[in-house]
This record gives sequence, C-alpha cells and structure tokens, in this order.
Amino acid sequence: MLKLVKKAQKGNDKAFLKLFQTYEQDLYRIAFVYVKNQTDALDVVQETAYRSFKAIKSLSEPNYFKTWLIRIVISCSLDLLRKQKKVIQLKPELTEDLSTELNFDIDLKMTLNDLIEQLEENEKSVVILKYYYGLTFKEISETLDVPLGSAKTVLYRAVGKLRESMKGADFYE
Amino acid sequence: MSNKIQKEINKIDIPKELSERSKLGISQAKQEMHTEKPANHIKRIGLVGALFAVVSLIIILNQTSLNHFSKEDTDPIVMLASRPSYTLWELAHEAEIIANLTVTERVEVLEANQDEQIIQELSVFKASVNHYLYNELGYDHEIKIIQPGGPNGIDAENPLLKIGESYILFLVSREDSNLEDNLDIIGGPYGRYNKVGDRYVRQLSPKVGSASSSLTEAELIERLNQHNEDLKIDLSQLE
Repeated sequence: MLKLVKKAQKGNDKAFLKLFQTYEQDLYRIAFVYVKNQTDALDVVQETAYRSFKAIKSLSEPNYFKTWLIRIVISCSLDLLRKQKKVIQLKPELTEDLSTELNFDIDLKMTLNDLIEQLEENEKSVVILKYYYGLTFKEISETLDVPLGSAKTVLYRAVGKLRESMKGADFYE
Repeated sequence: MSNKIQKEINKIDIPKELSERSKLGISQAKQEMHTEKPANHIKRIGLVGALFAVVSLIIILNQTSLNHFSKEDTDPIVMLASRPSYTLWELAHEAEIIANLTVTERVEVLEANQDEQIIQELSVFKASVNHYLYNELGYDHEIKIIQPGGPNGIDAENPLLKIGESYILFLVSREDSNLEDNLDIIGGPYGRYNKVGDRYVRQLSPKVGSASSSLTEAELIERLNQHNEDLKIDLSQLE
C-alpha cells in the first residue's frame, strides 16, 4: 500500500483510485450515517475522492492514509449538512474529567436507525471511530482533532442516548 | 458493542454507482490539477531528465548529429546508450504491469530537449493487451507505451517496437505529470520480450546470471511466480 500512496502523491490517479476503492464502501457507509440518504452519501464520497486526491501530497505519513480518508469523509459529510443547514447546534461539552473505566457497554438491541437518528454529528463520529474502526481514544482525538477528554465525554453521552433510546423502544413494545 | 455497531453499519446497502462516483471525483481533481500547472509545451522541455531517470539512457549528440535531425530523408542515427541491467527478479518486483500485448499504432513522436546539445526523440505507441499477467493499477485493455527513439534516432540495443508485433512487456506508470497516461518499459530492452514463434525472446539479457533469454510464456510465468510470490500469476489463463 505504501508504494501506491507514494505513487499517488506523485500525481498518479490510477494508483490513487486503486487505494481509494479499497475503502470506498466504508466511506460510503460512514457518509450515509451522517446524511441519511443514498444521493447525498454518493455526493459525499465523490467529494471525498476529489478532496483527498487534491490533498494527497500533504499526507506526510502514508501509514495513516485510512484514518486520513475517514477524517475527510466526516468533514465532507458535515459540510454537506451545513449547506443544507441540518447540523444541530451542539450542546456544550461536559467538562468533568471522565476516567477510562467508564462503562461504554450498550444494549445489543441498538439498531442502525438509532445510530442515525438519535446521535448528533460529533457523537456519530466518535461512535463510528470507536466501535466501527476500533480506534483508541488517542487515535480518535487525533483523527477528529479534539481533546482526548472530549472524545471520551462525547462517547459517554452517545452511549447514554442509545441506551435511553432502547428503554423508549421497550416502553412502547 | 463493537461487533454490533459494525453489523448495523454494514447493513447499509452499497449502490451500484459507487465506484463510478469515486472515479468521477478523482478525475475532476486530476483535471483541475492539470489546469493549475503551468502550460507544458509538447516538445516537453525539461522532460528529458525524468525520462533518463527511468531508463538511465544518456545520449549526447554532437552538432553533426543535430544537423541530421533537420534532414528528413536520411536513415536514423543509431545511438549508443548506457543503462543499468535488470534481472528477471528485479523486473518481477518492480513491474506494476506485466502484459502480453500487440502494438497497434505509433501515435506520435515527441522531442524532448534540455539544451541545444541534447535532444531525445520519444515514440508513443498504442497497444492492445492480449492478456495481463499482472495489472496492479487496473489498466484497461488499450494502453500507451513510450519508448526512447524515433524516425531520426534509434537506440542500438532497443530498436523501436513494431506495429503488429506481439511482446511481453514489464511496465511502470510514469511519475511525471506531462506524460502520465503513458507507460515506460522497465530497463528499456531488459523489460521487453519479443514474440518469436511460440517463444518469447528477451531483447537484452543481463551479462551475469543464468536466466534463459528465450522462454515460452508458461515458463516465464513460472519463473516470475518463483521470483515474486506476491504476483500469483495464474497459469491457467493461457489455456
């Protein structure tokens, strides 16, 4: 893969396409979680391909290609939502320092719909990076460019919401 | 939790047009990147350095030879070149593409010159790929190959590819943006096997080493797979 990244950095579009297509399905699914429909998710992937190829020269560490792409797809998704004014004003972050021992387990009844509909954009980012990609909090904070404590706080809140959502579902059953 | 999230996200269906949209984004970027660059003259001054880096071919013509370029009805000058040799092992590790192909057309002849004393003709050939032995970058079945040499000057060890002839070539994509759609033959004559009857004869073999310079395609594939296990060339494609 490193060889392909280096080639792409020299402007080789075929090498870049080969790399990009390795991750395009993942990128599409991430975009879908944010924008909630196929048309917009495809637009986001196209924009991600466009932006990432234009910026590939700036990628200093080829080993981080995948997380770099994830960062771009999240950014493109948020930009699209902003354009459509669908980004909800985020609540102020919790300020308390959460320990690493927090319980992030969640009821296994969680559905895709809960993930898409119940979480705010920054919560989706942390949940996806943590649970879909298995990144550490340190990696999440680097990928999203947020303090490590904030990443934990946001995840804690997201998990809480999903848990609440489960209760609600149970209540109406 | 992790498995559950993965399972849920993986339920999102992938639309058929996804790959096309990726390609579209990349081609838009490529187009803009080209227009953002200063205009290149197709005589592509400055290109010569990059070309020589690939084939390490240095041809310096004296003034007499330069005068020759202006005459149209003369035989091409046969030039001497120095280049590093390439073993089959090196070809097996450096090739991005290994193709069995037939040359169909000479598309154009370019001239690259750094100054008045150094001129290089470059022929661009179109080829139809009969089959790929290895195709790392997913090229189509019609490709363009660039080879040093032209009507006025040819390389003694690496005569120009012939239209209608078949070859097995070891290729790499170009790293300069001027001619990036064209492919280079690795090591010039070292990366070229000419089809002669049912065998493939290497244009130029390294002086050291025992590798035979005349092989059937199946024998060549077997050797390549031995040299580089990652290639995994399927012998059954020849059946």
